[in-house]
Amino acid sequence: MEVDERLVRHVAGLARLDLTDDEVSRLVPQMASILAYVERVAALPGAHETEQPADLDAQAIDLDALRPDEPGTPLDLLGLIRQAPAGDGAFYVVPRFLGEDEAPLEGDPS
Amino acid sequence: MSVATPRLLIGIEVHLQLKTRTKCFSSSPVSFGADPNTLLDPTSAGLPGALPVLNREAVRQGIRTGLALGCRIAAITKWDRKSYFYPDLPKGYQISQFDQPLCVEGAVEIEGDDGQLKRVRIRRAHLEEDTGRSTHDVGGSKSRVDLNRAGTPLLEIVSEPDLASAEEAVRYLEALREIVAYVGTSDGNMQEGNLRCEPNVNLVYANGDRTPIVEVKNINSVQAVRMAIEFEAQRQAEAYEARGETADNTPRSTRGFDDVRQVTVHQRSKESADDYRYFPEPDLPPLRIPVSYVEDLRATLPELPRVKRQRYVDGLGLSAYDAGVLTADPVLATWYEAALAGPKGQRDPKAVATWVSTELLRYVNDERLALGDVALTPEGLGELVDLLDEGTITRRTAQELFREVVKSGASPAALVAERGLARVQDTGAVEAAAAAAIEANAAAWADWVGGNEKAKGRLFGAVMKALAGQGDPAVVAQVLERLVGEARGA
Amino acid sequence: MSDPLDLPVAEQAARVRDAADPLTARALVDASLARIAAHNEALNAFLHVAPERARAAADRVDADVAAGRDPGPLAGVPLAVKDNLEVEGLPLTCGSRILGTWKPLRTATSVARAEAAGAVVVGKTNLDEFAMGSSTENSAFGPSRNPYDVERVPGGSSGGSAAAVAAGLVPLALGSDTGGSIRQPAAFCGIVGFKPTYGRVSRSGLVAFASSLDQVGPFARSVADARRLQAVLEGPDPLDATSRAFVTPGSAATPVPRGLEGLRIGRVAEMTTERRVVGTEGVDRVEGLRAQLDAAGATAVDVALPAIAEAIAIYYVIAPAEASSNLARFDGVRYGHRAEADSLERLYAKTRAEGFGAEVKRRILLGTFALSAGYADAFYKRARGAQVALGQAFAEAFERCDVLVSATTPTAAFRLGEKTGDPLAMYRSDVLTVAANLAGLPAVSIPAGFNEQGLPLGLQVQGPVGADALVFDVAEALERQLATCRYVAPEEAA
Repeated sequence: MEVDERLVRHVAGLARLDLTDDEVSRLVPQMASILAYVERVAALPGAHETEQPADLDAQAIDLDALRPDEPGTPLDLLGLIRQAPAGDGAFYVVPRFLGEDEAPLEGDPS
Repeated sequence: MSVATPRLLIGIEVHLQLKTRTKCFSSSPVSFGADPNTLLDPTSAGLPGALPVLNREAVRQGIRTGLALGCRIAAITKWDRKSYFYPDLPKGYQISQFDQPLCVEGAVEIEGDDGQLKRVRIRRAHLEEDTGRSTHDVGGSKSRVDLNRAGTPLLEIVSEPDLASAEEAVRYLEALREIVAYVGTSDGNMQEGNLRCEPNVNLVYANGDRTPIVEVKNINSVQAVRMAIEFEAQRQAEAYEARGETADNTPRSTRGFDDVRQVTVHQRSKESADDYRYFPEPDLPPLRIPVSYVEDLRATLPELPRVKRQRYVDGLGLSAYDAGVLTADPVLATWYEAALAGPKGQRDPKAVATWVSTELLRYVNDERLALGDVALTPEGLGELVDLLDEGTITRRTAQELFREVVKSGASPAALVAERGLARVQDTGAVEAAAAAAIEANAAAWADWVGGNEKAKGRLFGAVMKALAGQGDPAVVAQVLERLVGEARGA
Repeated sequence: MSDPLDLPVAEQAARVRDAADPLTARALVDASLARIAAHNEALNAFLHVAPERARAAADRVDADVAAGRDPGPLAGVPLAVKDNLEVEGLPLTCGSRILGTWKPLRTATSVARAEAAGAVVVGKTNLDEFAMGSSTENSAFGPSRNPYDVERVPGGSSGGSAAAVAAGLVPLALGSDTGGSIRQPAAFCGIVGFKPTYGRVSRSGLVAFASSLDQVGPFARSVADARRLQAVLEGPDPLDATSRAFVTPGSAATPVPRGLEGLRIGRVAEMTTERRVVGTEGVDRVEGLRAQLDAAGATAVDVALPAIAEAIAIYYVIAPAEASSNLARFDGVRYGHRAEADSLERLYAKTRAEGFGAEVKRRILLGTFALSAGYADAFYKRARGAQVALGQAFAEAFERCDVLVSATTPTAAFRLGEKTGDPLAMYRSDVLTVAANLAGLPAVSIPAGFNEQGLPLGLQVQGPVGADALVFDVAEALERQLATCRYVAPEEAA
């Protein structure tokens, strides 16, 4: 398993983790040795079996185990929103971002 | 390069909010218009230590919808986590279904552009949770997050790319909306966002070239679907013809529809496929769905709109137009069918249909009412139809009565009895009989007008005879008294 | 044992429940708080002590007794709670900076059940950050110390709970076990630690590390005490879909007063001498135990379970994968630490960089990698397949024996800092415990004497899925057996 800085930075990007250059250089050999070790899972018995319906069935629960559609005890919402690191008492507030359902204000239509 | 007219391929992903009282994986209520962040619980707020617990009703409504779409229901279904960071997504992952969806392989029938029946295949329909919503300061630096919607159960319905035009896409969405309204699993309202759609659009040329697939987001109305697809078809054809853009040289992309300018705007390319890191949701065991449960739901599914429309035409003899009007809304169809069922068997379908589709709908539209808010009951309208049909009242009386009972909800039969509105008690009928009696008994009439009250009896008898004994003596006497008074005063 | 706090838990509770006995819950709790005040500085076992809440709860127990109401089988018994379990009103740190000053809005089901049985929470104990570690050295608030030698680790991740019980600060504590996080510190601290069958105890209110492996369980000084706490914890919870009822008897089942006669005690070859892993100090104790077992009438059965030696590789794919997802919610938006940032992406990346410690970051990266496009097939999916096969191998092994007995850990408690430089060496020290989590088995560690340095060693008993009561029965019998023998392991290097 080839582990390099690019891979570590790519994974850190997916995980939304800022890493310093020092951290990256430490992590490259660490990840390399850990991944080299765990890579052996591919050679273990069962490793290439895909989950069968029977495996799912063994873990499955029945419909009557599901939650009835009844509202539960309400939460102390004040306690929730008051503890927000940034809120205006009603909303959670974050730096402005582009909404997924929002077209950019500027943009070349072509 | 070839500029022969390309074929348009459209597939649609629909996110449908299922009607439940509580969220998909937690017990806070689902409702619209609540104050921000007031419909939360530890699970839907993504608090540490909170776990999802599946709502049985979401599964039931998902299965009912799937059955109405002709889908096969999985015997075992499971949940997966779809990971991405977004402020609307409190846990950093969405609980969805990846490889064992609840429903697969269905179809929705629409009228194709060629006028023939067309089957639009449904690839799959799976359950997942909705996200919260954000609002963004225009030109400002903040976005505000409301998690009330987070965790609302959604059914994501994925069609095959079987739609060949914007019109077909619109008909597909309308058919879908109608179906879910009939089975009552969703409000299916695009404006309120409980039916959201993302068309995937591309073109195929006769030489085998394909333009890259574009997924269009931010569509809030059926009109927008039409405009977005038409714009895309045009834009992709131009990009192909001008720059030779094909799926081989250009990545798939996501574009947002701009309502104001009626164009689609590039949002992002999918050069590297989104890395959602799906894996089985360890907090939720797979779910076993017995065939008997599915069959029970299938058996209790209401008649679907297309079937009902066909039956109205073939079985009830209505015009296709009337059948269309009456089945456009399941509440209306149910109302109609209730009014159709009389105590002595089915009433005349056409007669009832006319009352419902003209008088009732006009009233509802004029007053801007929902059908459920109308005072008149289907039974009330049925009575009115019966009174008219049996000849008890005149059509004019019937129309006057309708205008009254539609507001008051009073029983037409009771009003007729109370006010003596039956045709024979109708002063109009009595007056006609009286006029004839006066003409036939001119001497007696002159006597009575001259002051001989004894002549009155002769005229009274003549009127009653003309009414075949069905006349109300009081009404007859009243009419004659008035006439004689008028004659004396003249 | 003159101090009531040192009595068996059943006796403490019985005396508190007895209105005629002068011992009160308040007295037990005050005694516990006094010991914490005297010793916590040296041990760093507690991150947060809650004297007011504890005294108020103790007074309610005493009021119940005075009013003739039964406060329950743990009446007045002080309880320490690992700080990855929510207790309403008390801070929740998970040994991390990222939760900031967050206070949970409700109490974890397991804690609530212990409280409903009369136990009194005195505080929250230290742990490796988000339960990721084997020594508590990954706590953002400094390591806990082993009461037997404060230069050594108490084990982890539930090291604070183990140290608190071992030092007599509390008779009972709660921990969580994802790969050995209850059993390993119990072994290092010379006490009893039990990991229930997966699904026996609700995880609601436990901050998830690896959801498919995590279980909450008890620490105590004796098997009977652990069992008494465990009995009130278990049972299905509507807030946890993976909690469930079992047809096999739970821990509340009346203990079978049995010896070891007729029991088939499985010794896993791969856990003992055939394949040496890391070190064999603890393992060789099991070899020597054989004579004891024979003497007690048990049949020792050698069981081949090659998959066990590889369990660590499976574990270090599955657990980080789930962890990377479970920790995504710590994003600075709704609670906890938030970094200063002018864009959303910066907010995420900086908040998480500042809030998480090195080990947590390492595991998030490992897990994200194992699930990522292009690698999920080679890592996550293979590990899942191997995990299923491991479970089947255990099921087959349990056709040949009733329980499996092994050392809990390859070595006794190591020194602070001894393994922090080599993450993989640290991971591999979990080799004897992770398999039970991957297979969902019940497992307990009981004290098995000391090595020549005077450090405690643990003996692990694992049973088939659902056989929690059997594991307790065997552990009680072994506990009696081991009390009569003095056992010294041969010196053995790694």
